[in-house]
Amino acid sequence: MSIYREVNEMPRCGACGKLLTVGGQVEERLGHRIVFCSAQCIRVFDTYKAPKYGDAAVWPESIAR
Amino acid sequence: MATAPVIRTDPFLLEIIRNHLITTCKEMGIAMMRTSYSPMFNEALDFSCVVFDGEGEMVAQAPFVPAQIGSTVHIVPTAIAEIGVENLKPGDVIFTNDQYRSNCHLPEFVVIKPYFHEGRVLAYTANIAHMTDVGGMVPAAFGDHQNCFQEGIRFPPVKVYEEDREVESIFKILISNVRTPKHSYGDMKAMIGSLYLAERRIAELVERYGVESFVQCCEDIKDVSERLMRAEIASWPDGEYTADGLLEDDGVVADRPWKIQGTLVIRGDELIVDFTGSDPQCFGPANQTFGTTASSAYNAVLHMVRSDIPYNHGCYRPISVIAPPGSFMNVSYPAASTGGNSDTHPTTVDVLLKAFSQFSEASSAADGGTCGCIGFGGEAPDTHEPYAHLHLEGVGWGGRNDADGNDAQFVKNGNCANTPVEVAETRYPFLNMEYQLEPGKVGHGRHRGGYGTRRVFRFLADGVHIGSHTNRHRVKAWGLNDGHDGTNTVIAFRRKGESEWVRAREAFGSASYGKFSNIVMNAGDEMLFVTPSGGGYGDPLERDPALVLLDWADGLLPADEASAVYGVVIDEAASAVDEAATQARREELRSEGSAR
Repeated sequence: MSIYREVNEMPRCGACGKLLTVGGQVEERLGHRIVFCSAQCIRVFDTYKAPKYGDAAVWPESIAR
Repeated sequence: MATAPVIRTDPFLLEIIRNHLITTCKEMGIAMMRTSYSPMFNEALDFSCVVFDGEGEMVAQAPFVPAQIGSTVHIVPTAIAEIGVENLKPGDVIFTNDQYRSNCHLPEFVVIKPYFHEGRVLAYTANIAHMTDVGGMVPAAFGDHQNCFQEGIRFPPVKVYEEDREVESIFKILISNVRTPKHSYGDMKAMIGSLYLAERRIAELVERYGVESFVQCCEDIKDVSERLMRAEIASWPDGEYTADGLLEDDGVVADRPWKIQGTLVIRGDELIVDFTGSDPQCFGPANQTFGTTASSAYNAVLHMVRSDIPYNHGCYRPISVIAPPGSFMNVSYPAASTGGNSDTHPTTVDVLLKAFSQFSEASSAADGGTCGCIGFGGEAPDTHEPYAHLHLEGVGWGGRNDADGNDAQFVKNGNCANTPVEVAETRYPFLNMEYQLEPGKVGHGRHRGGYGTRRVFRFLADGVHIGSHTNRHRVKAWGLNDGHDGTNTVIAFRRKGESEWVRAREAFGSASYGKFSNIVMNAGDEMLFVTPSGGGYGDPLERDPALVLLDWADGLLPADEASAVYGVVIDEAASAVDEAATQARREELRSEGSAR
C-alpha cells in the first residue's frame, strides 16, 4: 500500500479552493508557485482574483510544496 | 465570450439519447426507493442518481436533490482520479463519503461504477445518498460536532466492489461503525444495485446506436446546455453584485452569527461566484465544504435561468466559484461540516438570490433556511437493538414576484419529502400528537412567504437521544422589496406532566437553540417543533384582498392581522372582503407609513 496522505497535506486550487488529491497544474504567480485545477481557474486568477485582491489573492494552501 | 460549440449529432438522435439517459437516472431512483431499507431513501428520497461520460463529466441527472447533484460535479471526477482510471476494471465500484474531497458532507455516501465497452470506459454511473447513521457522537449525524471525528466514519475513495465482488473488509469496517448495520448494508446494496441497472440501460443504448454515436452525443448534450447557459448569463448586465446574510450560530459558540458573503461577477457569458469576505470557518458543524459551496452557487444560478435547459456538465462550465480555504464556505480538515449542507447551503442560495435581486425581478425572498434535521436514536424497546432516524421537515419558502412562497416544503437544497407519520410511528418509539401548518406566523408581502409547520412528538420509550442542526431560531428569513421578514423556528421540550415548553438553552444548557446533541427524552416527554416561515415579497398593502381572504378562510391569518398588516377588512359574518372599508383602511395605513 502507498502511504496515505491526509487531506491537510494536499493543496487547494489557487482560484476556486478545491482540494486537489492528485494532479493539478503549477504556475508561477505573484512570486509563488501556485497549484491550479484547470485552465479555467488559471484564467479566473489572472483576470479577476489577482487584479482585485493583489497579494491576498494567494492562499497559503495553494502554494506548491 | 466563448466560441459557440458545434453540435454534430442529429437533433432527433440527440434528444432520444439524452432522454434515455435522464430516464435511466429516474429508473435508478425508483429501484433505489423500492430496494433500500431506510425511510431516508424509500420515503424521504434523500438521494440522487447521475450518469457521467467517459471524460468524467455529468451528462444526465433527474429531479433529485440539488445539493447532492451539484457536488457530484466535483466528487465523482475527484474520486475517479484518485483511484486512477488505469486501475479500474469492469465490475468495480468506487465508494467515498469524504467531505473534504468535495462531497457535500460526511453522511452523503457516493458510489461510482465505470461502464466498460471493449476495454474502454464509456461512462460512469453514480449514486449519492444520505445515509441515516454514520457513527459518530450522535444518532443520525446532526448535532453540535466540533470536528470530523465526532461526525462519524470517513472513507476516502476506495473500491467497495472489485470485478463484481464485494470487498468484504470495507463493508465490515462500515457496518461495525454505525448504529444501524442492517439498514446501512441494505442501503449500500440498494445504491450499488441502481448502478448495475443504469449500466444495463447504457449498454442497451450503445448496442443500439453504436459507440461513436454515444460518445459524440455525450459531448453534444453538454455543449447544448453550455450554449443555452451562456446565452442566459449574457442576457444579464455585466457587473459585480454583492450580498450577505447570517447563519445565526454554529452550535458551539453562543450568540455568535456567521457571515456568508457572495459576489456575482458577470462578464459577458461567464459568471464568477466569489465568496471572499465570508467569515472564517466556525467551531461547529455549520461550515460548508467546497462541494456544498459549489453546489449552492449552481443551485442559485439555476433558479435564475430558464427552466428548460438540460441540466448537465455544460450548465456548470460557464460558472467559476471562489471559496477561500479555511473559511465558512470551504472547511478545512479537521473541522466539522455536517450542518453546512443542511442549513448553510439554503442560506447561501438565498444570499446569492439577494444579489441577483439587484438586477432581476425573478429573484425571491429568503426561505426557512433549514432542512429541519433532527436525529432520534436509542435502543428499540421491542428488539433492544440500536436505532437511528433522521427527521426532515418542510419550511416556508420566500415570496417571489409572481407568487406566494410555498408552504411546508423542503428547502431549496433538496427535493426531499417528510417521512409519513404512519411510517415513522411504526418504526420508532414516538407519536405525532400534532402536525399542521403553523397559523398566524408568516412573512407578509404582496406575495407572502410560505407557512412553516407545527409538530408535537410524544416519546414512548426511555432514553431517546435527540440531536438537532436547525436554523432560524433567531435570524429570520429576510423579506424582499418591502416584504416582511419571516418568523422563527421553535424547538422546545416538556417533561411528562409539565405544562410549560422550555427551549434547549434554558432546559439543557446548550449553546444554541437549534444545534445540540444527545438531549435525552423519556417515555411521556414531548418535543415541540415549529419550522420557520419564508420572507415576504413586495408591499403587503399591494396584496390582492382575495388572497388575504383565502388565508383567513384557511385559518392561517386572523382578521385583525389582515386589517393591521394588509389593510384588508374582512366581514367575518359574510366571509367576504369589505371593499369600502378596505380601501379606507389601506389609505390610512399608507398615510401612516409615509408619515413615518
